[in-house]
Amino acid sequence: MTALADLERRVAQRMAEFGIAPDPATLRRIAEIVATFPAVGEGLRRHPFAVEPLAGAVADAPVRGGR
Amino acid sequence: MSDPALLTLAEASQAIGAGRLSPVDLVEACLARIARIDPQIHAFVTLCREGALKEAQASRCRAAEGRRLGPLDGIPLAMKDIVETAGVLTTGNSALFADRVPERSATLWARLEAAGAILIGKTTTWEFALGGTAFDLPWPPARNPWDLSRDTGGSSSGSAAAVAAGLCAGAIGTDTGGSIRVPAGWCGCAGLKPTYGLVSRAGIYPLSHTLDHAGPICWTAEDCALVMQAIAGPDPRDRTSRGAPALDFGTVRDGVRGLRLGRWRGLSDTLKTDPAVAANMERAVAGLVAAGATVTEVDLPPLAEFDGTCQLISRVEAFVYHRANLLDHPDLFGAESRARMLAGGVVGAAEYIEAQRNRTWLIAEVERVMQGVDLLVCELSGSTAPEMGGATTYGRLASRPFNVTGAPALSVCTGFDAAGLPTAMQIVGRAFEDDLVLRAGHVVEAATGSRARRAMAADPITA
Repeated sequence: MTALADLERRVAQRMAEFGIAPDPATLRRIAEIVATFPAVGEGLRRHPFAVEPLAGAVADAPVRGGR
Repeated sequence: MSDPALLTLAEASQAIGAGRLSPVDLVEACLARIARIDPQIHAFVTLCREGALKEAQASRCRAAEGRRLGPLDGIPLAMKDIVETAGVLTTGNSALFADRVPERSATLWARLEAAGAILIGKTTTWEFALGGTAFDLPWPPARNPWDLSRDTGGSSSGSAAAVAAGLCAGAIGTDTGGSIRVPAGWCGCAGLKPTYGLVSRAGIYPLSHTLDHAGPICWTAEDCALVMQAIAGPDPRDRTSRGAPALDFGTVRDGVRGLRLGRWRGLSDTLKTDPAVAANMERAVAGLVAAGATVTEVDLPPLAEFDGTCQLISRVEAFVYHRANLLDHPDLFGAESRARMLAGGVVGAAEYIEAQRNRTWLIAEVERVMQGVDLLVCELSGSTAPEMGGATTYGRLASRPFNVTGAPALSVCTGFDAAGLPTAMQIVGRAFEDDLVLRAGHVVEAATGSRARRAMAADPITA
């Protein structure tokens, strides 16, 4: 099974958990999009324990500083 | 003056203030251009003809009586069709909201309206600002007024097309991964993604709540400054908005003398930048240097790090917002936006949190670089506007890093390629230094002379 086919299978399972069954073309497209997501970012690879955890809710402004 | 609709927002405002231009004539000129040009470029979903003329008459009275509300009084603006406007259809270009008329306006439009701006219409968007240029939505995609066979970019596609074609004096867009800056750049306009938190998003359909920004698309950086002066500031309806120090956007003509610019080393190669885009950017940077700025090269994390982090976060947050409708009415979404949103539902909580943690590292890295420079100058896109329908997803963009960091980023026109298509670059600042970004944009426009040419491909009179 190719990586994309395996991903399609995972996508189909997840959609079934939601109670929907997208058509094959949609499943393929979802899998293509998911395949572009990074596994682990460079920041976590370089600093697996040192990168600060989220400060407060993610809804907080991501920027700091300024004048 | 030949056609008042082709004045910049600043010029039109000055003309109204001096009694040389009536807001009614200005609105009528825009409506005439819309009637002539919009059937080809599809920039508008809804036109507010009667309301705009009525407001223009009221503005004319205020001007005549010396009671102008400010520089935006009598200026026709367009709102992206995810910005709620009380009593006016706000569809998100989705069958789901095809008949939705909100009772309350977004804070951003309420502020513009209070400043005397006139709503001329609602502009075409990708479905809920996400689904890409698509042909299976209630309204057709906007076309590029420089070349009708070309895409506008998105998702604020109609806003950029309308401004470029001179159908309104300015417009509002939103930007989650480049949706103000990319269409502004590919349509030859100026587009500012403000600092995260500077402009309220209350009353704007969310896509990704930690990445969404709202801001102006206008013909010039100076015009963007005039709009920003009215819309910037904290809002109790948007808890992510910030009470930052009031910015004086009136400094937009103050130049860049003494400013230190950082140039993102290697980005041009990463984007495989077209020669004309690169050459025009060189001229723009030379113009900034000639105006007194200095340039050094700086190193930032790989573009792919920003892109991957942005994409994962935005898809998950979009899924969360649209989940109920996606699962109950999947048939009401366009195919591509449905797939993009559902992809967010496949991502696990740990992966989302990892992406947010990675984001903190990316923000810290950019902040470290910005301690040594006042502004960052870099490519926006490796290319000019692509063929319409040529790609589901755009590659060769450098817009997403500044959604990840929340820093203010301006797309500004640097000139044109041999085919007459506009080229663009980005100017990025530190948080809440949006005014500085616009100052540099004004210098680029002056140095490149890019504001001397207008998009006329869709105008049957001049094409």
